[in-house]
Amino acid sequence: MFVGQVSIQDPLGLHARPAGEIVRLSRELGIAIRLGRPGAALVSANGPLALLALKLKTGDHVTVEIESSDSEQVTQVMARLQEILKG
Amino acid sequence: MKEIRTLKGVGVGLRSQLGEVFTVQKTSPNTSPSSETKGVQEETRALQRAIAKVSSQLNQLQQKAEPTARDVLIALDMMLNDVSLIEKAEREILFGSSASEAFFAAVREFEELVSPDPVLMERAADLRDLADQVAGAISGVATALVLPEQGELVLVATDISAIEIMQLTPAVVGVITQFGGPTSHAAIMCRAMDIPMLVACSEAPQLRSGEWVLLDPVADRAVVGGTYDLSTQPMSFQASMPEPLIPVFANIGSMEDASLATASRATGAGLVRTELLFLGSSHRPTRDVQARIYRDLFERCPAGPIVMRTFDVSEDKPLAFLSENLTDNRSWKEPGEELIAEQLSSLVQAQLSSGREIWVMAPMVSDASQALEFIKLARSVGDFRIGVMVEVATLIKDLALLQGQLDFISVGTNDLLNSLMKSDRLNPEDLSQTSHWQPALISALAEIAGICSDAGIHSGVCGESASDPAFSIVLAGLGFNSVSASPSQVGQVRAALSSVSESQAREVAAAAQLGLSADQSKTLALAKLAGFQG
Repeated sequence: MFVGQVSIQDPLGLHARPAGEIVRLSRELGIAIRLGRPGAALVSANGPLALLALKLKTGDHVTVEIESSDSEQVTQVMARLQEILKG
Repeated sequence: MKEIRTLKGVGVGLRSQLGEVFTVQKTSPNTSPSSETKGVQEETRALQRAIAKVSSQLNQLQQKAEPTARDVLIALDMMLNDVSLIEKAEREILFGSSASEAFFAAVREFEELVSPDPVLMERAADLRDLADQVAGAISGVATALVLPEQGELVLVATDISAIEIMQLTPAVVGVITQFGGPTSHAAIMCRAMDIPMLVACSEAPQLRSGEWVLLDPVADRAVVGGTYDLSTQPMSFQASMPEPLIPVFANIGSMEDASLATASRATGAGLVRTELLFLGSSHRPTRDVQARIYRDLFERCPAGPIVMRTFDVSEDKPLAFLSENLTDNRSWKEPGEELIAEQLSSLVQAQLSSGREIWVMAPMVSDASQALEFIKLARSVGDFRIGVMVEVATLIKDLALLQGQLDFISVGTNDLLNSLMKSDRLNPEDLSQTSHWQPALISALAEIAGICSDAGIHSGVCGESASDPAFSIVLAGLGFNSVSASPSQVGQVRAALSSVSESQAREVAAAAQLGLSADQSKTLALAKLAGFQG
């Protein structure tokens, strides 16, 4: 399992569309992705609502857990996540 | 003579529209979801069938929707099929609830989780609308609005959902709602469909079917008995001078941005977010690799100066090679001083091979001593103009100390606004706190421009506020020497800054400084501007 960090750059914070895109990313790749505030409990990206309920705002840092040991895949997922969170 | 009344609200869209009021009473089935239960298995199946039915309706609407509306419908569908939401509802059924009660209970739980965040409450409202549809599908009660096919109607309702917007007939030319906000999915769809809207109009219930009303979204109002001659035109800037008052640079985060910036006639690159150029690399790029990438970028950049910001970890924690030596200090040295020194020396390499004018600046500088450390390092490595970002409130007072040392500053207005809020100069309860029209931000900007002008330091703004054409005039009027906007906004900002004289810009800035709230500052500045645009 990989643990990393991303940040919310979208001026609207983490809103419905990017939350949905993260869920779709997790589904399409068949990899469990978990997100949360650093030091707090993480939530599974299997639906957009739990992600929205994190109330992440622009500039917030987010801890990411990815259920994968393929480092290339992890790098791609992290890059994609940061892209999604750019807005 | 006809009576004319004005109703205030929040406008959505740029076009005025005259129409006949058509009020609708929403008869949502959620007022009394059936509590009768036919047993756990039956109710669970009924819920699943209903969700599948609403989901397929959303899919059908998607087929004929244009892109923005389609995105909204996809988002709604994902919320409806959210695993945790359905699990919660099914648990409620186990505890003896009916299918529709259970779904509403699950929606309420989400609502409690996100309350009172105004944006997320809009998503909760979307969910409630979906729950209405689900309850309708369970009970077989039709939930669709019944609307005439002909006429020119302004629909008046307490609130409206994105799904209902998709079902409007061609007779509907405008929408007024008592509740709802300008960022709701319904508003996003109206904007995309060019249907003007007035939301949060508390007096909407006073409107009577058959009255004629002018919807004037630019002025945030509806005028009963009004005619098109009362319409407020959106501000469009007519350039009256060949060049803008102050140079307009572009913010750049990729090779593509650099090409767009050149096409947009930006004077140069006002902010290159260097860390974004390495998003794809898992390892630390060598000095030569960096130099090659920078050189490629310089070739695409617009002809003027290129402002390179050193690696900023506050924006890019995912890059492993930048996160190795992280501490909790906020400083430009966070990725490691040696790494920044290497970046600067690769910039020298690219500068020499490209012959371009390169400025370098550090992010996350909070006082004069941090700034001086960066100046010393940059000076030891190469021949640059040297600057810092102003995004931490504590740096403002120290700027005067940097006279003769610092060549330029660039204000990151978003981060500066956050920093001002943390220092309690702003009320965190104020919902408009994120607006760059905040009086506290405008007065901080005035202070920065004044200090820099006295100290002979070039001052620029690269934050989001510089991409707002009207606000760019305020910035010029406050005395900033340049702005840097996103490539897509450079044209608009250039037009705005070419439409007023220097003294007019100063008057607009002075008007903006009179406001006691973000709304007031904006209104005062725009009113002053409108006078100059003739």
